Amino acid sequence: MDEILKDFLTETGEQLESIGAQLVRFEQDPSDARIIGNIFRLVHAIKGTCGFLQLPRLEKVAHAAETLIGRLRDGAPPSGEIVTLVLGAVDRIKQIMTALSRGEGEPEGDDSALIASIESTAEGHTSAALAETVNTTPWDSGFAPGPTPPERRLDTVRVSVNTLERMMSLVSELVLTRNQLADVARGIDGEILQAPLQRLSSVTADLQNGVLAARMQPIERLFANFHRLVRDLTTDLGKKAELILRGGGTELDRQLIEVIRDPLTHMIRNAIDHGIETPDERRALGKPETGWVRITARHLAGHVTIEVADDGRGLDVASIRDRALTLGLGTRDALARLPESEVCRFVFAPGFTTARRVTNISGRGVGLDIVRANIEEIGGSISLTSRAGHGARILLRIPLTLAIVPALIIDSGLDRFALAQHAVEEIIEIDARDDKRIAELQGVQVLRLGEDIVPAGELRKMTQGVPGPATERQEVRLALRIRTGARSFAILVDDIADVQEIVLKPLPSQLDDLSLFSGSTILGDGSVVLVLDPSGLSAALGMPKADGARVNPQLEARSPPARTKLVLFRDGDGAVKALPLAIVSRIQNVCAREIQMADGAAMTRINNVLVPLLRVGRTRLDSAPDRPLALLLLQERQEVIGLAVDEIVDIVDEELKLEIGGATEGVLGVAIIRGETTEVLDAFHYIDAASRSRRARGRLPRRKKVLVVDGSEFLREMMGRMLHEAGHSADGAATSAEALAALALSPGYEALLIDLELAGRGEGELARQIGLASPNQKQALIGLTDHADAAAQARARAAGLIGVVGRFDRAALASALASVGSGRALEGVAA
Amino acid sequence: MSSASFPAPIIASQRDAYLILRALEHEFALPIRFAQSAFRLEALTRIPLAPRHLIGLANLRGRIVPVACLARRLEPSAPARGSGSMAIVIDLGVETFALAVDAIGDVVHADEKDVFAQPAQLGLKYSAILTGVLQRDNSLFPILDAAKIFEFRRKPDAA
Repeated sequence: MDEILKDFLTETGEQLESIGAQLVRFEQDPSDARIIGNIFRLVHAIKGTCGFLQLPRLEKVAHAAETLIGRLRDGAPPSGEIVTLVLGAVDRIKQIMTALSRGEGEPEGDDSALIASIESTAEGHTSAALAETVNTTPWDSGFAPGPTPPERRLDTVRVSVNTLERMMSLVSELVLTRNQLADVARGIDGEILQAPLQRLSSVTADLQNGVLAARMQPIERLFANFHRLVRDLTTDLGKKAELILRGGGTELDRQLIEVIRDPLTHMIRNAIDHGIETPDERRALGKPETGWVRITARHLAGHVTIEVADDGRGLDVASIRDRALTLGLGTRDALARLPESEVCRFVFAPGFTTARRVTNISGRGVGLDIVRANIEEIGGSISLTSRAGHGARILLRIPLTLAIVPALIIDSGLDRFALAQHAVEEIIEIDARDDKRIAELQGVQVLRLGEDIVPAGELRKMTQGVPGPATERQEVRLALRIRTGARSFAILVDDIADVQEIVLKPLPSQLDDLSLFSGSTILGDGSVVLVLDPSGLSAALGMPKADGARVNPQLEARSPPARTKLVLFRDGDGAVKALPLAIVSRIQNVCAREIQMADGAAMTRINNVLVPLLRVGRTRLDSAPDRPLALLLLQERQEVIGLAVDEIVDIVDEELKLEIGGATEGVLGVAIIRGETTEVLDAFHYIDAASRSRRARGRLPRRKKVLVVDGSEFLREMMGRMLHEAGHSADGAATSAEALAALALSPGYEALLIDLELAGRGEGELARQIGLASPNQKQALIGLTDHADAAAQARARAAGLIGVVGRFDRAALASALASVGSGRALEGVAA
Repeated sequence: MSSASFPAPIIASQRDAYLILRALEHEFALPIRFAQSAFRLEALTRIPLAPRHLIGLANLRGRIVPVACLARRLEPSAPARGSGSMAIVIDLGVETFALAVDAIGDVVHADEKDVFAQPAQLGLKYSAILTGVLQRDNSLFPILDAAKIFEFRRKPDAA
């Protein structure tokens, strides 16, 4: 439905609802000028909007009613006849609006009798006969044959964003208070506190989820405008294309919907302008004359992915190579050697366009680089694939919400700041007193990273901070490499104190000028910190503001894709080995004592998550407790593993040529790097090995297909995320009917997680129906509840469920799923 | 964080009630309709590069409010009031901020005729942040302009 129409219906619906009570009073006392005024204003507003929205029928009725009410307002005596007509007109308006809100468009119908009575009454010709038609047959003017459709009840309330923000802060405060209380309770021995505290925790968590969910809106809002856009574009360009929209119900933070509006518009323009061929070309190619552009939105592991695909000609790799050469992004040879997929990535480089002519549709040079910058700014990513002759596909991956972001808490002298984690590209340990990598160049401090040079600023100086008490910590400094759009720079800080999820709050407007900060937040301990703004920092370092129109393509060209960034490290045998940096999600320094041995496997705790460790070569994990070790964290889907090595030697950007294929397991091959023979490791070997050993020990359960039946989309999403993290695949259903449909459509579900509060009518009935729906498959039914006590457990078993687990109780859920298919009864889950 | 609401004035309407504040040995009157509550400042987070009288951000029951120091607003060289000082939460409609003061006095009521509206004519030192002067028995209280206390002239180059 059109966005404007929707807004109109919501708003007018609310007013009509509120005027209902006034109409009753109007009936009792038709001379109350205030009520007449209210009704008049409403009808007048409806009339005005109708003209704009092209709803002729509603407009006519509203117009007639307005005239009549206008006469009352001007002091005409309110006869019973007029009152009846006014009420009749308002009822008719409601009927039409009800039909509209069902998305059926303006219903057919004849209002001429009603309008004629109103008009003649308004003109002063009382016409009892005509009024009678209204009075006795108010409904059947051709619009509603049979009984009146039930009026759709308004079940929404509009709430201002500020109210939601305020609720968000209050919830954060509640979380804080809960934490303080938990601290106090720890000191007091007694079960009395534990139960209510537990309850407080779960209510607080639910409340937080609820408030977050309230900020969500379906992406449909955005989609509504795209049909028009495609229609206009195809007409202008003489092309034929159909717009296919999928997943309009996918919800994301309303703030994000606005942020991705322009990027999506841009991509649709590109698809039609560059992608889709003219009907003649398409015919010649044996394609259907009408092409398609398809936008698919869906939730995936805590993110929203939006795919924009078309069936056009795909990217013109040859022109991109030419253009890349002109822009100096690489030599002719290097470009020729690049695989097509790499060449396609150039379209995200600044100032890149291959449009032969500059049309008013696209090709003005502000293109995908801006799109990329916008998407990366909000912590998202963008990728592109193309097949010549078959079309292109752009995939956006964006976070669900901007309201909560993981952030680094930075120590800088006596100050403490937060910085969104996604802005930080790299964390480099440096020696503040004497580090050869920090140099001064024409009065500008720079940091050398391999062959890269980036401007570097000391955060303490940038914020005019005072040094903290002299401790050893001051000597160990960190450089945070930050990227905004195509620009890269570093800030030098004392230390990273913590990583926390923060709720970003805007700064008061009086502090707008402080471009260094994008907002503030309250940390877990109740303290307030300012949140650093990457583009503000870059501006403070004297770099031009990222307006995107004019950026130096050289910046992007620094690392031609023919080269590969490699991490060089030393293993236990002292040999230097290499691993592609792209596969390393993080490098972390630990001490040997932070490594725990459990169940024959080494692991360590990073951000409160246990990460299994594998050794490279003969790196010793159990040596002196203070011995430093470096961990290369590798992430494959939801699994993180750490490779323990002795030390990181360097990060280099080299043309990777494997000279000899690897004969040893885990070695990709041998390459000459900086003149030395270096073994390049096969990261996937280690990832596999880690999951094999986890599986062998039963830690990583066999992947299961799970259906989550829960009424709340938000909770479904959370459960889905949890299941994904545990290595399972999960789908969701909002109602038991949806669940049954999912089972019928897609067999193979091994377990169903059912929200028992939703099951309502009884777990047994649902279990029976599910049994009926797929008689050939025995799914394990597991109940989800807030209170997984013994009574719930017994009730569930009696109903044919294998057990009940507390919502978000990871351990219980994991063991419940592990027991599925193993024949084991679900024991100890109730605990 | 302790907080107290002001007693509703009994005789006069809200518009004519004033809260007496003290800073740097001066007493001022603040129209009470701006004052939301009072609290004792605890931890303050410094705002780098902000004007001197904005002494930090405070956590007011989950809400982050900037804190202005009245003494510093009067004399930029005055030492900033920090934790332990009393602060008034001032609601300007669109923005809320806290004003750190040296002491909070009584609530006084006044008629319109008690207010002298042209402080600039008196050539007072702080007339830029005043809207008038309140005459009360034998005392005179300059009336603070709530919006102007917090406002600051934007420096052409913030960095």
